[in-house]
Amino acid sequence: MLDCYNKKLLRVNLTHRTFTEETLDNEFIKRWIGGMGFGTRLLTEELDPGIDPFGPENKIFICVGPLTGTSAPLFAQTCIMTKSPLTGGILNTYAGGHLGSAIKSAGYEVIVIEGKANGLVYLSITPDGQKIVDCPELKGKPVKETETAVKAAVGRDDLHTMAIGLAGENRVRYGCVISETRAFGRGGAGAVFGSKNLKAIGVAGLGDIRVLSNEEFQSAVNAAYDAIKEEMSHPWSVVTSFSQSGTIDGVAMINANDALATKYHHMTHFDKASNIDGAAFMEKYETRSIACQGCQVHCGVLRQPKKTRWGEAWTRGPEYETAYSLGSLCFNDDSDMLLRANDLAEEYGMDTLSLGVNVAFAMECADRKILPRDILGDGLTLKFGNADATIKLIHMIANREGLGDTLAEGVRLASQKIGQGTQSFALQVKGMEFAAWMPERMRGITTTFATANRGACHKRAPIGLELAGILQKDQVEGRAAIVAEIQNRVNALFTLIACRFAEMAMPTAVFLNLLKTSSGIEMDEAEFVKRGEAIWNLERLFNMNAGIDGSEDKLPDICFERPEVFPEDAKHLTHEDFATLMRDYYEYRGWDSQGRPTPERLQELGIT
Amino acid sequence: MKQKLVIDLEKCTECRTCELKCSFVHFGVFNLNKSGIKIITDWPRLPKAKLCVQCEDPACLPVCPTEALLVTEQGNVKVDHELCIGCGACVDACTYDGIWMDPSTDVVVKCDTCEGRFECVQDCSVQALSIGS
Repeated sequence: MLDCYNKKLLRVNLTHRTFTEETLDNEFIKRWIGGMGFGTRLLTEELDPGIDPFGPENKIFICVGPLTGTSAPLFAQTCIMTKSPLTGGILNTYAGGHLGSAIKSAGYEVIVIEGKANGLVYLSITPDGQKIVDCPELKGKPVKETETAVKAAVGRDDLHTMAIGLAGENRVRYGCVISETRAFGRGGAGAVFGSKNLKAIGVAGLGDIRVLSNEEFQSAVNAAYDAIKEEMSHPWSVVTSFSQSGTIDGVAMINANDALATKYHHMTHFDKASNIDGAAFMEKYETRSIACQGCQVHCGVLRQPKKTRWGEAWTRGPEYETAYSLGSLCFNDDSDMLLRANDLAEEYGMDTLSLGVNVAFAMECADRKILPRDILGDGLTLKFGNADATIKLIHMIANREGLGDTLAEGVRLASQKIGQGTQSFALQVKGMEFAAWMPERMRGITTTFATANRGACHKRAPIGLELAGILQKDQVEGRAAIVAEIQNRVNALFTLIACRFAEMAMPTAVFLNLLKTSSGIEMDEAEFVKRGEAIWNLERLFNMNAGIDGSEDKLPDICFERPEVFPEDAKHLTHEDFATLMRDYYEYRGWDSQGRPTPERLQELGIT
Repeated sequence: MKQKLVIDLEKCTECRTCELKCSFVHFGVFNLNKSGIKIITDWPRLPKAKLCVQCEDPACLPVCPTEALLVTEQGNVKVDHELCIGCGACVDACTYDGIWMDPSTDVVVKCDTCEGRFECVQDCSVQALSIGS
């Protein structure tokens, strides 16, 4: 029983420079399963919701899952949880690649980082020992150079790394953590690393990863392979499309659906999208596919070095979300700029979603004559479609120069500082900038942006159903319940740290069989989803205690204005429809009219 | 001619499914250090691979002091992990970098073609692995 678990937590205190190992007890493991479950339970127990996210009292919980490091496909991601400096609430953020397997082989299920180092350090966790190493020479260094330097200094070719760039060091509130070619993108975990003077972590391990029954586990893995193969045999499947050209292949399809947020949400369609879609990138750039560990989908598109007029770039991506935020949202169709911007965001360590929204926000402010067009200097004009302005702003934000310093705070705080009514069009919920979807257009997105515990996040929404026309995009009736169910289900899947695409290829029974044959933990689908619901409620309680209550389940005013370019036969979002969605949502969740979980519901979920 | 595992690095996505399968088949656990094939990442360039070339006259075979290296029915060299004492003589003798030490157990690891079953080949989703001779 619980064969696939290490049952060990490593606690690292940067202030005192100590390492402590703790044992995870069986009941805890069985209840919270792993990944986001472990992280949420530990974080909500250990952190006072009121703390300063940049204070030494904040902690970083790095979690893997029961299937990490096994051959189960699409379970390569690692989960970071912390109190977000962008939202002030609980944050879970994920990156794929190969780091999780290294953590698992090193013998840990969770690594907790506490305190604050008295100078810039990196952390090395290897069979040669656990070390906190001073690294003043890495100050301000880009991510790739940092990861290479740490690998060289530790001297192991099996080391896997995560690191921050200048943005995290400068506490850009959406500074992210990069792990090799993958990013723990959303919510500012990199800025929390920076606040602790933690530049990088390198992990290597030699340990075996076992499962309960080898024969039965192999059968479960084979069933997963079969499900993925079947899905990828269909040319219409998005999994097939991502496998061929990466997630950026979504640009054309979403644009065809009149759902591509364009020119700061004033338009739902980008006439020049074909210059920045998956096909354009495959045609223009030498590309090869790379995969996370054990993954058969291989959505990673690695672009070979290419000279652009803003310098040479090589990068994995850009993803669909980046083609929106730094592309269509900024009314920009320059693929070279997107390539370089993606590379810069990786090197500085910034979430491309929040970054692009901040750049677009500045352009919108200039259009509304709130910011002067020449504010960037260098003879540049701050306006939609200006690729040079975008690149300049990326440098300014990471370096916190001029307007960049304001935008480094995120659009919520930036709009408060700039004033002049800008808060009404700052594209954020709970401080987190909009992901690449239009709440004006799709009621699933409306509901999920407004209610998600980490802010305007798209990770738990019926996107596929609405795009495929299985659900009518602007229908309000019944939509809130569908969203809440997906939120619960995805939270459950994030205890296993399944890739978000796993669900598109495999039925839940496959996940549960992988869990059962590796760990002996058995449950039916309803119970599994209920575990996810318990996590959702724990997050909600933490946020409420951090001051983020039901009054924050809202969208900026701009979402209630009909965009200039909008499908004629579609209904735009009204305040009445929004109120209905929120009422239905609270009701489905068993929360009161103010969005507070009721004691009865919490008891049913086993939360005391 | 002996059969051998062949990798097309242009197709490889570096997912390491082959490494995971190899350690699972040979040791019953998942451990990248216990795999007889190693994919070495070198972004943005193509990966490299370490793999036994199944040479006709294996230099590793005669140097083993404990007879831990055996020849299978298919003619490939296989490691008896019970007999291996981790002296590393075979590792030194191999000029192809096709056999190496698992640092946690001090036994050597190499591709033995799973006695002709080539179990990793079927799991490679991009057909980067194939059986050659």
